[in-house]
Amino acid sequence: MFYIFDTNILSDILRFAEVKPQGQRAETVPKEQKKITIITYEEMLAGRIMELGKDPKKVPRLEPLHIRYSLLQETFRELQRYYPPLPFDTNAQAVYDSIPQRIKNRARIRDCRIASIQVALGTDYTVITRDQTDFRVLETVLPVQWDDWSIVAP
Amino acid sequence: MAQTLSYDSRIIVAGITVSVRAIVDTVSNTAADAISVSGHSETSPAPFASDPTWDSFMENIEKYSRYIDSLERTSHE
Repeated sequence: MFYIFDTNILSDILRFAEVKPQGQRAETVPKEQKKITIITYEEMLAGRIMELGKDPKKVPRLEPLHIRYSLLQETFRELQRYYPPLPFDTNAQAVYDSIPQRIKNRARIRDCRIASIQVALGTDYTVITRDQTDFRVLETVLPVQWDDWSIVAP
Repeated sequence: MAQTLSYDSRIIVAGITVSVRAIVDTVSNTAADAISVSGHSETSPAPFASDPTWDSFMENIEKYSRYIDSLERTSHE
């Protein structure tokens, strides 16, 4: 089994490691089974680049530019650990195009795209997410395989 | 036993990463950059534990996500 960490889960791991349940479970998974998609690359790099574009005259307590560039570089380094990302290829596009617009209006597009990648890859892959609401909506129209590791069994 | 040793070493490395970030705030820019990047541990379990921009970074990701949502939805109106 391969586990596709979505952006929130990867963020939790990078920020909190084993302090959170999802980090604890991720730690038990062999490195080669941990995957991320190109969607997470897109979002994390966009988040860092948006930070670079902020105006220190308008944003109070903005970190110096060299710190923000350093963090972009470190983010790139962390993403490289998961290289190559799972692609949004023609198969994923076909799945994505099959999602009705009414579903795309209810679930976040990033989750629609990550789910499409998983469905295109098949049942050897499971999305790890805490966006339960979106994936419950998506599973009404897609055979998406997902799990939420942020919840600890009672 | 091996697993315990490995876990301990990562915790130590994480501690170093935190202290490096503290140095970044106080020493010269050029030197700080070198330390920040080269001091980043290959085995750190939480490389952004002390990221001072983290909350803003997460907000950026959410803003970007909403932007993509709006692009997709307006293109189908």
